Amino acid sequence: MACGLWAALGIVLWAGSGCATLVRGTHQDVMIDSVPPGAEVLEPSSGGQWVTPISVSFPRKHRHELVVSKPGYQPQQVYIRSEVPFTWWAIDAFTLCISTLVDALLGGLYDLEPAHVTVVLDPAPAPAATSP
Amino acid sequence: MTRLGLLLVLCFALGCASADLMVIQPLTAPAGKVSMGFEPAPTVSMNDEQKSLLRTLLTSSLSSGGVSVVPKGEPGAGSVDGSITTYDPGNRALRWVIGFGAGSAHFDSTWSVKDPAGAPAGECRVVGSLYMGGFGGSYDSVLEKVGERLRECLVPGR
Repeated sequence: MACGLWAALGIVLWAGSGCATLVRGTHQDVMIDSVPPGAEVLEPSSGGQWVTPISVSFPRKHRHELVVSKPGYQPQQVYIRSEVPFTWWAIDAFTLCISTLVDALLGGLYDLEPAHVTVVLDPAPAPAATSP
Repeated sequence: MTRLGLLLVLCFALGCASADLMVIQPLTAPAGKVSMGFEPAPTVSMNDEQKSLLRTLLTSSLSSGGVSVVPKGEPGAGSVDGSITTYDPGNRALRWVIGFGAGSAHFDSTWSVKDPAGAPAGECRVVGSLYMGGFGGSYDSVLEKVGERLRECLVPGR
């Protein structure tokens, strides 16, 4: 009886592991907010363009470099990193790394960090007075 | 013994980042609305990505505790300006594979607070470190703890 339970548990763990891509998908929502709101968010590499506040669904597999700007304020660069979280790596390890490879290739293994970005834009310096 | 084991398991799973607050000059009044800036000390090297990450995580930690971070020059807002004297993410691989202090991460900073009129209102030092954690632990967790301690400096008791 006990052996049966352990076997069932083993099968559940084995079958349930390696499903980061199935459970979480290949994209992750990242919330981008700004103070003041209404700033433009640009991702030069993909050409993506949004206005804050916005929740953007980014591919998990790659890091993302964004530029947040608004007229009258200094633009700021924001970096969203792609990292392997310990939890999914540990769960994937149950399948002797086969599912780690699958999840890594498809992107489900990764977490985008930080998942919530609030950009505080400082006013642009006043333009220097030009002499006549 | 069981508690020690549980603590080690939690540390490994969640990370063992810590940060301490040292109040150099107590605040004359809580600063619930501030503009924030920081500069690495001349001996500290931080790239743009590290500066952006620190700004994001500190803003997030302060905001989640009810401290409004606003643009510079906002009426009625004080300011908090930091000098980063240590920014050392360490080596995550060494923390994970070797441990025992190898690859440990450290952070040290001093923060000057000014009231809305621009007068000095307080000063504190926040120190953080990380020695172990899942996959060696993330330096982000140190910076988040630093943000929490900075929040305690700005609004004691929060």
